[in-house]
Amino acid sequence: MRAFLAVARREIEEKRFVFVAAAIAGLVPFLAPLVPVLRNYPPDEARDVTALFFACSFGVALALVLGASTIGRDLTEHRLGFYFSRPLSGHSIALGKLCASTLLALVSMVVILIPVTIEGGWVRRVRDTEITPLSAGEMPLFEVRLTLLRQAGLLVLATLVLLLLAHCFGVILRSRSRWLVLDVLGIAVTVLLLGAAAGQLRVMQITWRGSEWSVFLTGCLVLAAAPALLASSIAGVSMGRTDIGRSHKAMSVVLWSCLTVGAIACFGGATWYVNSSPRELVALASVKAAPDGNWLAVSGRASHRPYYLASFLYNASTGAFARVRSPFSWEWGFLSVTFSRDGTRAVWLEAQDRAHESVELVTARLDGKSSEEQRLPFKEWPRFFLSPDGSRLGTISGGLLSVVELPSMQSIFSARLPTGEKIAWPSASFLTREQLLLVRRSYTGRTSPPMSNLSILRVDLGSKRLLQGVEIQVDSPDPQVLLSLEGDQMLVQERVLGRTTLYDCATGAALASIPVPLHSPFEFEALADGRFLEAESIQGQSRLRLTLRSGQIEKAIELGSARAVFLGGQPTEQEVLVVIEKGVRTTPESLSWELLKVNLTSASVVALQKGPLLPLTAHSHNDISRPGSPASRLFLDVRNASLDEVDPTTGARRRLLGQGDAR
Amino acid sequence: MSEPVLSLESLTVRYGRKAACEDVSLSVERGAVYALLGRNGAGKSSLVRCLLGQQKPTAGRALLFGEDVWRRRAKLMARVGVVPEEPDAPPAMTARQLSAFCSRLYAQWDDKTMAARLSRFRVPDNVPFGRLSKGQKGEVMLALALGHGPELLVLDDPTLGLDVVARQALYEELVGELADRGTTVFLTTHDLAGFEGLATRAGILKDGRLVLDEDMEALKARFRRIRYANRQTETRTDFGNELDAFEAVRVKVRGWGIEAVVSNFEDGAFERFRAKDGVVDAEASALSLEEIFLAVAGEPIAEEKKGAA
Repeated sequence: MRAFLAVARREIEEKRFVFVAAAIAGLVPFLAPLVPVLRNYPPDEARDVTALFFACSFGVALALVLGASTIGRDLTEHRLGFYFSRPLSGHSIALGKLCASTLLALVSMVVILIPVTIEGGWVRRVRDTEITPLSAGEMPLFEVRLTLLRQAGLLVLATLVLLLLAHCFGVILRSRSRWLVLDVLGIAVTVLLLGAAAGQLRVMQITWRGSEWSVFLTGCLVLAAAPALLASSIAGVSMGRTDIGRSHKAMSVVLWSCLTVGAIACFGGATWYVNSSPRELVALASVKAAPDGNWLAVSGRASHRPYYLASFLYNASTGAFARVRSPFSWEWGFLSVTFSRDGTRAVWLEAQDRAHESVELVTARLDGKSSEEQRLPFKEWPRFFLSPDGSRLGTISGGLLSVVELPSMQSIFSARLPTGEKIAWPSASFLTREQLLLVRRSYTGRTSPPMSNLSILRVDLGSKRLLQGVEIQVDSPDPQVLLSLEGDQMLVQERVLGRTTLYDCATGAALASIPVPLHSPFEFEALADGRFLEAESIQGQSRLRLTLRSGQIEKAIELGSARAVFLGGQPTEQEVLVVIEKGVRTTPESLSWELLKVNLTSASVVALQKGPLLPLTAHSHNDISRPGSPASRLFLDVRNASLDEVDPTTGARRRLLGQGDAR
Repeated sequence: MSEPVLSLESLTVRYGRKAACEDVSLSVERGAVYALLGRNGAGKSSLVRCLLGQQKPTAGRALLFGEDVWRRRAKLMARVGVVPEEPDAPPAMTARQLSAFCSRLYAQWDDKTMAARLSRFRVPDNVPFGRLSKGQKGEVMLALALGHGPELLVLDDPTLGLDVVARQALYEELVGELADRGTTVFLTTHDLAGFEGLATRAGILKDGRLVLDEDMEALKARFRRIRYANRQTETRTDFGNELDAFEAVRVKVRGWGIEAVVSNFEDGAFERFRAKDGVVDAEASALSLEEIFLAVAGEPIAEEKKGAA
């Protein structure tokens, strides 16, 4: 310690003139209000900001100059022998010189700020303004508030890193030895590994606040590099001693060993981070089941991997899985995965850049016949849908409707569709392998009826014709549309008007109008046999309503007291599973949930299970589950964020995924 | 027998394929003044760097006070004073500041003696080191090297570039130090005449190899110059026969006769040589250290014979 202090003191004594320069620089900001470009700002602000700018610039410049010269020049001019002829260890010499240089840079910054601090209370200003270079986001990581102490710590660290970087580059450039080859190789390997690691994390960057992650990861890398830089600087002096060539060698060997090991660790860590298995999922965020078959799209947090949603295609029967990269989309909901009706193919979107400026539509077979994925690039996020047998893929993007054959990706049909800000496509699907049905919504821009028009378009792939169908005027700016399985009927929910209307898609005639509670939970679902099932809960009483294809209400089934009803799948054609929610929704624990099996013929209701279970049903035409499909038995346990299977006969419950998989 | 202050064990230093020192072994006893001689590029500086723990030998090791200097340099340097070939003190520091710096490093730093030495050398203690003359820099380095009363003083060509006065001051200081404290000295020098009187042992490095390592008295006793005329021969090429009893390291044919430097001079052998037929006016004289060095480290004898022929 005595030796270290002696070296540091000598270094500071020798370069104390920088304090004089800093003191003079500290007075210059008082002239800032006189500078024309700063006259528009309040004088104290102009002065303070100028002082801060001067302090930072001076500190950075000093760190770079001292870092590059303090040891490097001594080595070049053969002056380190003076120290090595004394009872001074190599690390005392290196640390003494480097710490003294860091201190010189830091104190110089403080010296520059002293005059404005005395005059105007700069410290108070800093204290009042907590600087957060990473905007506070949803992640606790980015909610770190930088206090004055932390800012000081960050400043010290940044100065030290700059100084060490300058030192290393200074030695490398001054040495000009053959070890430069190692440096180039080291840089290449490190950059490649870090690039590969960043590539691994790309999926995470897209999913979670990319820019913050980039800044954060860069910061982490710099912080991780600091020990390597320090260790290599010390090694360079301790091992190389008075010879710059040997010093360069020792420094480079240690630096690139540390950085390469660090980069390998980064790459390994990143690989591990984004390569969890479904069994490692501890909390499921979203699950989507194929209408038929055992495949699911699951997304959730894996153990020890915070801030990242791992997503998979998962076979609930065999446990087989395939990783799905970045299926997340604000536009499309949590999982953009869509299955064909027979459950043999899945398609999803993968963003290719953080700005979501280019995406790829990825399709994969799930029946084991081919594991190869097909990719289709898009410049805009497309709307996409699969034929019932999964052999054809339809997309709408940039006003172009395209249908391709899978897996060849050969285009078999394309047509230009009207585009515009007021046009949307609330429903687009294959009715059969040869027929498509699209529903276009045109917002009229009026506040009085008709607020929007729904146009039905049909595509016959056999004759390759796009047929304009009927147009229906609706009194809602954003009506929800639900097509029957055959596509001959359409349920349109005009929630603002408190009604749901059943239309004939061929004629556009309104078959029936079903009142919808304005401020109460309401769900509706198309059944496989063409009927519609509505669930409502009004004034604490819940019921199911079965609507026939004619629009007539077949029957209403009372479910008892409940504040909400969630429609589930059909274990048989005559049965449907529903979950009712009782109690007051204050905390998850305060809720009382009950899973019921309702016989649609006899209207009998049987309680199967208690617990916060959400059925895996999706309310779109293409995803209508086949009665008896495995999906109808699957539920998301909201409290434990797990995927559970319930036997519709006995009510027995089994956990499939989540909580690290308790199976 | 006491442990040597300094010893080199099969020390080898290589730079790539080129060997600066090859298998050098030597030891210096306490109180000795060892002069390591060698031509430029003979490997002296590499050897000194290894000796001071500033360079790791390619093979072998350097020991100071029985300890490996590469491993224990910082500790060992507390007992060593160093005067480098090029004065390397920080140029911005004055002698007084240098003394203050060293006083923080050595437990037994003697500020007064340092100041007295500088006064004797007439070196101002308030002028930055970088502005001092070459001689003054050398004197400051010597004063710094002696400031803590070292047990071993390592001088790497300390008189290089010094004028006669500065050289004389350095010798006097060294003589005083040796007389007062019996400090062990290891030096490399080209100033052979200057250190001839001080050195108790000498070593000669030639092409990285230690070709000579001997006490000065023995060295001077066995190396002699023999001059004689040979009346039996007319041709100059026959001069060698009568010198067969000696190891002639250098033979020159002069106008007046033959001059040879022999490395195994012995009175009895010389008397027998004088008695040989044809050897006329033979006389033997002592050699200076410089002459011995020239004989050993100069051009090989074979070349001279060829030249003579």
